[in-house]
Amino acid sequence: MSFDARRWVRLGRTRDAEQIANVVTNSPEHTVDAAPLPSNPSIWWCICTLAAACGVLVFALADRASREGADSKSALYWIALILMVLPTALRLSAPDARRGERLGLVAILGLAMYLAKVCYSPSLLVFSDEFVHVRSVYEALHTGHLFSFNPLLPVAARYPGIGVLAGTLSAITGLPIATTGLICIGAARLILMISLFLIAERLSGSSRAAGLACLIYVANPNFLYWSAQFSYESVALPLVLFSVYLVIERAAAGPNRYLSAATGLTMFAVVITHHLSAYALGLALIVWCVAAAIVRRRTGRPVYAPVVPAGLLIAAAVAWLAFAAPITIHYLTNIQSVARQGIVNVITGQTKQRGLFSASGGTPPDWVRALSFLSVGILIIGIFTAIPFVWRRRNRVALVLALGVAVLFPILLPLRFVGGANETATRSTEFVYVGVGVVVAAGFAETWLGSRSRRGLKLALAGIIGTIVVLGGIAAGWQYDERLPPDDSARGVPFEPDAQEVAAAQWSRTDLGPGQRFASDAVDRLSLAALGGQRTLWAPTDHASAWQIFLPPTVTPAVQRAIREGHVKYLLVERRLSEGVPDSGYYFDIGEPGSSHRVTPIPAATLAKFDHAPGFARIFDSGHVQIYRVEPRG
Amino acid sequence: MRRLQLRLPTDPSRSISTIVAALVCFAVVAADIQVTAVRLVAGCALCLVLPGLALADGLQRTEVRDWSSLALSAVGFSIVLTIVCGFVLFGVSAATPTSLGAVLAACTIGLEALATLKRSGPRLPLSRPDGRSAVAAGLVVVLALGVCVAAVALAYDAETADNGGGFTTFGITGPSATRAYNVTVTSHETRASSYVVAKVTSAGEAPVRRFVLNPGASDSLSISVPPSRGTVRIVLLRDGSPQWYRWLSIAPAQPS
Repeated sequence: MSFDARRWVRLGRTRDAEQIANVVTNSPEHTVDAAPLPSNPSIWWCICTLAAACGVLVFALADRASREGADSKSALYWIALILMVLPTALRLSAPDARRGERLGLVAILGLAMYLAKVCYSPSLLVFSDEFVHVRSVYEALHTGHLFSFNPLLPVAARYPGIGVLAGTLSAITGLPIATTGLICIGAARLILMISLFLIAERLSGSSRAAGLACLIYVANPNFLYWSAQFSYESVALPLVLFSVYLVIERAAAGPNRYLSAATGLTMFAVVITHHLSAYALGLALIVWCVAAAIVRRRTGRPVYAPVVPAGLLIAAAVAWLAFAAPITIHYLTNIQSVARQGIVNVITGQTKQRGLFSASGGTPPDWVRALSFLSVGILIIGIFTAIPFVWRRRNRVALVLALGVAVLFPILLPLRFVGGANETATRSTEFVYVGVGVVVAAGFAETWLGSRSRRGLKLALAGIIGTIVVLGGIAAGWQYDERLPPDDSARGVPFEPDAQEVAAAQWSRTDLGPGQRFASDAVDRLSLAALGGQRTLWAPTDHASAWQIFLPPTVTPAVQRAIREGHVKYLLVERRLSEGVPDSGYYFDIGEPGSSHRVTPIPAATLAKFDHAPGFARIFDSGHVQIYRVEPRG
Repeated sequence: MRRLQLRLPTDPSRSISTIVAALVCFAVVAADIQVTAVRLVAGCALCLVLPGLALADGLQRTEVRDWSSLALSAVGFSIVLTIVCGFVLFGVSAATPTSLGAVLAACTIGLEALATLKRSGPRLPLSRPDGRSAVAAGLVVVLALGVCVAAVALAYDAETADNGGGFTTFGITGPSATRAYNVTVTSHETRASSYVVAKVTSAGEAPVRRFVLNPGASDSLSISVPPSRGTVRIVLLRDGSPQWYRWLSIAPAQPS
């Protein structure tokens, strides 16, 4: 069965609506094959699906090898990614794949990549942002309050969308928070992939380009781990794309109150889930309105402008910012000022520019670095070669908007050389790659894959190029040494809470009760606050820092003062801090002396100082984790 | 206001199925059935599929035109409705499993009813794969799912396996009004271990209790400590070794 947009519009819509549909989304020649599932599942579809599943299995083997310290971990890691990506890339490039097959492949690729993250740690949420939101879910479930203070990231408590979602699922199913978190993000990943496919298909008029757009999106450096973690942005971004899809559908379908109400509800969910996602969506809708006005004026044809959705979204976001989450202003301005200061410092020569791949966590081998450069280079070439394609369709407002987003990609790249602004550049890729994927894939599918000469060679090359783009993007996205779980037998400073730290946090909850005032190192702070429900010392809002307590070699009056001013009742000491220097450069917080320049670890005697100092009782011991109670005076 | 006209849908089976499914899922949640798999399926359906499916039904014939957009709408709107309903219930401190389940089930039924009322004709038929190819696709998906489940199980096994040696946690809380402290020992070892809890004072080391713990097991005991000028230590010995395996301290009160 095939679906003709024009014919469908004529069935029950006005002439204006038809014109709007054509101008905004569908060109007159636009026809999509509406068979969603492979009505005749090709052997290719079966191969790609099984290869992706095998990729997940090999990824699990890589994780296992990494935990056992085996040298085969890197080879297994790359084989797993190739198994997931290469067959799918080849098939998505092929002209004979049906729409449903492409959509199925895209969904399977997205879910396979998500399962790779699940295999990293199936029983526990281990990335730092995940602990932040576990704390939010815990507060929602156990105190019934949505906006309770979150010592790990206060602004996260003001956006309860993910906490409500996982909390509701946890309450209804009776599953632990970590498991419900995995289910929620898996569902969100499915929404992301299908939404992106349908958006790209609408804008490019081709399911082939839509499949390739999703493949390119998978290349965004945050896709494998960052966007798959249990974090508010991981839920909000799919809802943003879902909102955009609904707006595009509204543009094509004409006025529909039911759809408008559903879109409004979706946008409200975005507003209460994540700040930047809501602002990005609002900005995109405003630009869309402006572009629509320009096109309408230039051509005299009716063009849909999402004025009402944009207005409602902005009103809701501003109201939320003003009444529920004013702390967001401080949070975002702080990030922005750090980035700005970093840029100024590099320009004025006060600091050296940041080296690429200099993030903590080891330097990748040369071939991996080359792969990353190749990926970026291919995408930049792709964006510029797609400009003529978009220009010929400049009346399609949303496509032009996608080009505008894509052009941000090369513009933001120089920020990677600036220490303070690198995070901004990296985090923006999740949004920017939506435009990059749509534009590059649309141009690529028409210009390069469209011609019939040397088709077989071109298809093979396209699959390989797609794989290089994805693998290169993934290589650029995560600390190289942390792309697989840590070796259990290795000594050194842990970069994520391990079994003993989790046990200590759980003991603190059951035996001491939640809400106790703790001081600890940065990693244990996560488990104490999230799994123990404790109020951990946090330098930006408290009057003391943990390093003031732990770094001095003896219990000096300054240490006592820091404990007093921080109202600290318990100290958690991780003895392995003396076994190395953390990859992040700091043990407690970024403001500690020697942060980022430290070469020697904390002496073991410094960490043992509470054993014999008066006024401290060791109340928990699990081997390398000890908890001390600060005894009250008198 | 335009009067809503009730027209019975010509293909009511999906509406009825959705409503029945919502009621069954709510019943499972409200009855607090402890069979985890059943509750997992019911809870996930109630939070992640049914409300969105009902909302999508209202859009069908226009926006939801094939399985892909139906699947997207079902999951997407379900997440949205779960967030919004949960936000309201948590906001008024009325969020319990039953209330959350009831609201989501009510949403599903209400939206399905609304969709039925506003629908002016039959749904457009969704394209369906033919029988044989659906079976083939289904088999491949089941096989792939099996491989993925094996992968996650392998990863879980590797994560929970004891590669770096087990450990035992040793904690103390108190004192109570009678100067009694509660000591807890929890074994995270890989094999059964024998333990001795002893009290060390200036008078020497005195065993308090001997016991054996299997992996994952825990034991608690109460220890009385008279007021003392010096620090008292509670130590844990393991597997007959005289070495202190773990130790805790009870500090005398600090002078003001």
